[in-house]
Amino acid sequence: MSDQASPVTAYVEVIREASHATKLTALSELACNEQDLAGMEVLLSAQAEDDIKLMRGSRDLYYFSDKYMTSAYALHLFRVAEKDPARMIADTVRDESRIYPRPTPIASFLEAPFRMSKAALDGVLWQISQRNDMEDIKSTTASDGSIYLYSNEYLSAAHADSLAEWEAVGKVENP
Amino acid sequence: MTNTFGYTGKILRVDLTTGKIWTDDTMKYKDFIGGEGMSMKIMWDEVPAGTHPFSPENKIIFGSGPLCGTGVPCSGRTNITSLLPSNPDHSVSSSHMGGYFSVEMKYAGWDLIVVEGKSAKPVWLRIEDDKVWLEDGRWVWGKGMFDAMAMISSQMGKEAQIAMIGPAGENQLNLSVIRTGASHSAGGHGGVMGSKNLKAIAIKGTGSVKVAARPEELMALDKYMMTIIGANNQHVVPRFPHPWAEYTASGSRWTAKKGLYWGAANPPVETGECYPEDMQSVGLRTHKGFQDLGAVAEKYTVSMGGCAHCPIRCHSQVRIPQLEERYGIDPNVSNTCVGYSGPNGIMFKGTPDLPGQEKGEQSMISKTLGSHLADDYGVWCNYGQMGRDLNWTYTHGILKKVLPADEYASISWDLLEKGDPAFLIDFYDRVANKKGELWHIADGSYWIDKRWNLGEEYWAYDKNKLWSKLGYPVHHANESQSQVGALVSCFSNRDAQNHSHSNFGAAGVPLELLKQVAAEEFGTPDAIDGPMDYTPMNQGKANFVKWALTRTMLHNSLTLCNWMWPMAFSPLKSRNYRGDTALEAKFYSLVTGIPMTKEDLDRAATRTFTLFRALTIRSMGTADMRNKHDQTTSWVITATKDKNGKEIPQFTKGTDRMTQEDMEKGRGLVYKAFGWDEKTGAPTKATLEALGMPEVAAELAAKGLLPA
Amino acid sequence: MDSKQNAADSGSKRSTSRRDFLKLAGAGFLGALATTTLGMGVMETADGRKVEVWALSSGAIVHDPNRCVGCRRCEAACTVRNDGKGSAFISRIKVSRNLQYGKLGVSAAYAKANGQMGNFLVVADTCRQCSHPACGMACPVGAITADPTTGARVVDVDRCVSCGACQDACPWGIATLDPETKVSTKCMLCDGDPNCTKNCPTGAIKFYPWEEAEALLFGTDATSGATAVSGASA
Repeated sequence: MSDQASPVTAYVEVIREASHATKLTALSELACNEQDLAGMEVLLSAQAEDDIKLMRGSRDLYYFSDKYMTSAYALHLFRVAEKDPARMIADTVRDESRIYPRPTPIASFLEAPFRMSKAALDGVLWQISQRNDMEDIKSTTASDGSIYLYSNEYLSAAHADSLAEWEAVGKVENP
Repeated sequence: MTNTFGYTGKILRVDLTTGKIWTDDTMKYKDFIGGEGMSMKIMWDEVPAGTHPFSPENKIIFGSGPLCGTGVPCSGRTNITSLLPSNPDHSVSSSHMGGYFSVEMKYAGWDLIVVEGKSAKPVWLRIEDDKVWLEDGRWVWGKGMFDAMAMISSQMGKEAQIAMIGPAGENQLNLSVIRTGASHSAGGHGGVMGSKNLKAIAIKGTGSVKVAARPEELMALDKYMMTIIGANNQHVVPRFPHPWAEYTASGSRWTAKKGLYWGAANPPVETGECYPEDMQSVGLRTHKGFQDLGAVAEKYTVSMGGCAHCPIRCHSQVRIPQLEERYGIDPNVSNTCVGYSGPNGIMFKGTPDLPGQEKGEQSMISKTLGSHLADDYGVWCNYGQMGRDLNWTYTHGILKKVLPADEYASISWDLLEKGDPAFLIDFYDRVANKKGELWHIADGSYWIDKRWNLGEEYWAYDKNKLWSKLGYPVHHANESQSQVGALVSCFSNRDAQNHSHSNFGAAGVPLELLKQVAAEEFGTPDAIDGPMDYTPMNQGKANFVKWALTRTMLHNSLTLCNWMWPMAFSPLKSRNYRGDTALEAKFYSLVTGIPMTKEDLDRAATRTFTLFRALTIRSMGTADMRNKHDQTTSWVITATKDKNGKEIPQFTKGTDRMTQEDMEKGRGLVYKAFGWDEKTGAPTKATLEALGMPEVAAELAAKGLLPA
Repeated sequence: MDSKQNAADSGSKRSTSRRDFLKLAGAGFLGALATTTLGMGVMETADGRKVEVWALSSGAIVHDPNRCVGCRRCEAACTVRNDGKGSAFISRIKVSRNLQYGKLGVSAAYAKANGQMGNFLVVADTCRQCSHPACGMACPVGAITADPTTGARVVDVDRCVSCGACQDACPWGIATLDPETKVSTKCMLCDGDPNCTKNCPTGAIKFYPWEEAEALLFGTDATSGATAVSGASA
């Protein structure tokens, strides 16, 4: 590294390398001082390194480079890093109900990058059903037994029921 | 013969009655593009209405197109056109197979092969470039296809590509296939070859298909297409989250991910991240073993197969030792999609795993065993309908009634009830070899109903999935893009086999993006509906229907695979997920040197589709297509019920059902889009003449089949 | 896969590899190279024999049967680039002829032998760019020479007399007379940027620098089509 390279430039490289390896970089990992942190903020606001993105969580700040990772994928990693699995599931379900729109199979949380265990997933689903801030999250079961979640802010029960049935059974029967 | 690019310029003609073999000029049919289009014209000119599919006067045409053999991605399919035995009116229809056959046709110097007449004894047709002759077929007649292909290959050379029928085709079953390679079957016309005593066509070609453009131009377009191509069915969004991906789609056939392997390769091959820009992993995107046979199949998967010059490999190639251990059948099986699920549909009571089996293992065994048997005998499942027909006739006691008691008692129904795949061994032997009465299950739905008197409730039961009383089932109908799929399915003489609309709708991007592209292509975002959230018929949807029908006809003429094309979307965010629907025209122009715009090709396909319509009118002897041909079965236009038994009105959220009134409006709009008569759905004199087919107009007029 | 045994079996074919050339070199060279402008020349050995020597190729194409999906995009990529037409017969990488029943062709055990009608293993034939190329040595008019830049053994189409000597001599069955032009075709590594490798959708075809290519193609642990002919079976 050249003499002129500031710590901030070095952090940017750390962030890029981490993103390349499919990881977010938490601010706490960078262990930078207040001056560096201010430098990072300046850098981000000036969009000097416009691939570096910041997400503010309740536990930490997280950086990634969108050269190596889409914002959508980074959001998955962010929700995993925040260590509130109920929130992770609820927010992911809300996104899918809004964007596509479609209900979300609970089995998708067993996959990367969520990688929940089946037991943990069952526990979290119960939590979701108890939390006041997640009253919009509803479930529906397709005729093959697959369970889907949706947010009733974006999908009606009738629509979600039929979409779940279509995703789980209809698509298989109509290859 | 003039020097041609793309086209070889020659059609091979064979009369099996006289043994005469001669050559025809391709370019006189060039307005019909190739493959299916040219075949339709030959059928119109040469096979009169009222001809029986199994009579010597019927012709069967193997068609390739100008792009086939040039390495254009997904250009390896073979189109087969003839009268269709399972259709009530024996109307003209096409069947299609992948593999390498059409490419070998081209390299041997032939754009099309037209076979007519009937040989006095079994023969096979041997083609080695321009040397063509008939070989004695008695030694391969009666044999299963795997062994018979090996016999012919040992005689002709290992590089021969063969299109063949099995015992089902020899025995002239309506539901029989023509197969090429290990796993590529065209369903519907096997019996036509059988009726002609033609076991196989085998080809070796040492020639080439010449390209008009400079090589760099075609190579550049090829490379450009690699920024657009997705996975099987042109799904451009992966099923599982990847760092490079913005979206996921649960039904996507882009199934690759880290940790998912071709597990039986040595060493195992990881499918992995498959970055869309990486041209060296395109062929890993679709893990079809995982898709078709379930997660259990990962460790049995040797590799993927598919067709000539296609980077997307949609056939899984699996090794299942259990097939050999239990049934004495070769463990190596290859197939795709309904090639597996169709035969497995015969096991309609399910195939529960036995103690000690992994989850889904018995189903995988059933699918691979059934696929191997169907492929060896050459039985067609009528796009999965055979299983549903067996289910209905067994469950409703019809088989018990129509089969002689001793025959019924001799069938191992207990195996079916238990879910033991061994049932398939007995079943396919009876059906393919025309034993007893049961084999009539392979007559096709219309003829089964006539013979066994199944009644209206058979047609009206939604889970039977019969789309039309012409006897064909749903194949991307109302469940796929609302009225678009529903109307597309009304114009064919067999299952619609149209993926132009279904791939469009299933690209995997959010609805908002689908609607943007729909607006660009069809004039309004309303041309597309979200699943289970349909709106009434509109002009945009009619435009979409016409586009889907003509594009598919175009692909079957060029020949491009309609299971992949058109290229309406791209996996790249940098392209804003836009594909390029002018790609067919760009390839056509470069390869043939005949400049054609997208609009030119769409017009040529409109001509061909209109000719297909005229052929159906001629075989049915009526111009009233709206009422006599284009109607659906009743379940399609009946409201369905929700989980609590409450009716869900059409065009509200939660249902994909149609209404008769709306469908009639839709038919009218589509007829109008084609320039056909809005009342009957028959092409008018003016439209036929404008499309350059005055002779078709004249013949229809003479027969009283032109609309008033 | 018992590749060692296969490697030994194919020993006769390896006679054109660098190893054998070195053995020959052990006889002791007397003179210097007559010429190197065409990447080849003639040397005299101590016992008075004249020996053709060739500059090594920069490398060679290696095909991995385990990853091959049999799509034949490599063949079309080869002939579209180099001949302006699609063809399997004259492709400089040969997949089609081994696709269904393997290199050995149809046998009674076809269902378990190589090929898509068997165990699904597709073994391509590729040009080894042999250090002592049989094609080039057989050519009576010197039309096959080492390319000065890539070292690939290339055909000078203007000098080719369509005799087919290269086709008969090549132990790998690569050199092929184009039935339409009557000119010999063989792998010329596309001026150092092989089009087949770029168009392989599974990364089954790769260009390797000579030392690596030689090990993969001729070594005792060779995994490529060279020595894996009958190695894998169900």
